[in-house]
Amino acid sequence: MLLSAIIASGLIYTHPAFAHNFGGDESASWLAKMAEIRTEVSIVAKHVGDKGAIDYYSDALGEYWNANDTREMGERNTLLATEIPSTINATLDDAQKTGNENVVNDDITKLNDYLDESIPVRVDKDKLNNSTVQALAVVFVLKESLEKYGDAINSTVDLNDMSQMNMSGDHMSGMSNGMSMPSTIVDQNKYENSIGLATTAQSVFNDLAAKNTDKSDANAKISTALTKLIQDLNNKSDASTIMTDVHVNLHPVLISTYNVQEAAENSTGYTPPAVPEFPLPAILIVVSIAGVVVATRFRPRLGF
Amino acid sequence: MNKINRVLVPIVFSLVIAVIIFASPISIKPVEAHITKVYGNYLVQVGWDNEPVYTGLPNAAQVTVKKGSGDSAQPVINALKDMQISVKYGGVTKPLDFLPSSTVDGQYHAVLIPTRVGTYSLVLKGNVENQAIDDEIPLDDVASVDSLNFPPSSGSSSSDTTNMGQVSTLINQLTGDIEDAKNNADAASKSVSNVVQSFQEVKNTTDSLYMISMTGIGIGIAGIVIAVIAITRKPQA
Repeated sequence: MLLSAIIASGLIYTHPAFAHNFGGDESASWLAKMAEIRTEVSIVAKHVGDKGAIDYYSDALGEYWNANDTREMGERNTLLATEIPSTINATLDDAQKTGNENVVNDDITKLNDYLDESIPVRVDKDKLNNSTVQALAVVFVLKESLEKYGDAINSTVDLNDMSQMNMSGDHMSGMSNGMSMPSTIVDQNKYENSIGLATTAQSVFNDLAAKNTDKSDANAKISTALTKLIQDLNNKSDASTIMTDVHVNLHPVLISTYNVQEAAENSTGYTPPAVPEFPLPAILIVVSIAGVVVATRFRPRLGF
Repeated sequence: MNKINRVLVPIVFSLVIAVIIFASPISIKPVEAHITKVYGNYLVQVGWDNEPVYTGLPNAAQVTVKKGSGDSAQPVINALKDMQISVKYGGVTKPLDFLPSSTVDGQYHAVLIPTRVGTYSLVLKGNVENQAIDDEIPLDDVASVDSLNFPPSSGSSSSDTTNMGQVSTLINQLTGDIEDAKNNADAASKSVSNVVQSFQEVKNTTDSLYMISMTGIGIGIAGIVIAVIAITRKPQA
């Protein structure tokens, strides 16, 4: 009992005491959405003529830009509400039917320009220049990357759910020896997509870091963590390694540096509950009782 | 000769009428007085959204960017991504935030209410795609909205002077009030900041106390366990 208590106490100190709950910020969501659509169409350009891949990215793009987005954009700019979805469709059609990479690249350039134009239309200037909102967008893109990677390796745990790190049996082994067995990829498209999204998150963060040179130390840590994440994704690392990269090495620094959690609270009016992963005081009580029991039981042997 | 006169007179008469109509102040003016400038292979057209322009009425500066020439020129999407545009009146400038048009590709608007009569201009600095632009382009002159007023909102010029004096006094009072309000707001902001800091300190202290109390409870429970063991245990012979 004492041994298990000590092990459990040790586990507590291997990662932060609180889970990360990111609320929804519409501006950050929009920035993330634009970055995600750009990522998807850039990968489409690599699969011109590949029907299976294009079908996959057609579905993915359908999730990122749906009828609700068209409606919301239409409230502010009817031209963009028409042109963005039609250019997405044109890109997919040209990638599948014409098989001409130049035509597809022209479509993508046009789409990226429309996406760029949509940002000041949809995101207020003060939020657009707010580093916290931009950092939250990085978090959202990473969330998509983890979701895709989880599907790609057919993971039984939700990679975005930090609390499930404790349930992962191989977490300790992954932590202790610093390496893990490569995962088996069951969905190549999702795997490629997850790497693309993580790379986009890194790019978005690089833009953010360039505007926040006063936070160079923290930015260096975040940049290193992102590089490690992309490296681990490329190495097809197991779920716990990827979760450690994001939830332990990346999120805490990002949160503290750019005040991400507060941004989520302010934008939604909802205070994310800080959920202790394991109640530390309970561990202390268990340790205390166990200590007394052991001391009482083995008192003669211990010589007091 | 009469035959010639019979032909010429109606023609001359028609021409005179046409000239009178076009020169007349009631003739229909062009809807837009936009200025187009060429920079390399790009056409940049600037103007007001609504022309003629009057003071105090909401309007917008409009910029349209096309690539090519003549009717074959194509709109440039996201043309202003690397361009800073300011509006200039006399020696005063203000950066403008342009948003894409809801109807025309390559056209951008920045909402603006001109407050003074006179000449405004747009100062363009940056690049459209790879074309560098550094220029100042005048906009159509702004007229006083008074020319549209009916009946006149003020009376004689002497009452204007009186009104101006009253307005000046009011403005001074308002300026004082605004200054006071600003000082109060600053003080309130500092207070809020202090409260937030205090709250954070209280939170930290509470967290520490929670840990200590829970540890104490643990030790207390352990003590009770010891006591129970000690009471229930038979004394050794």
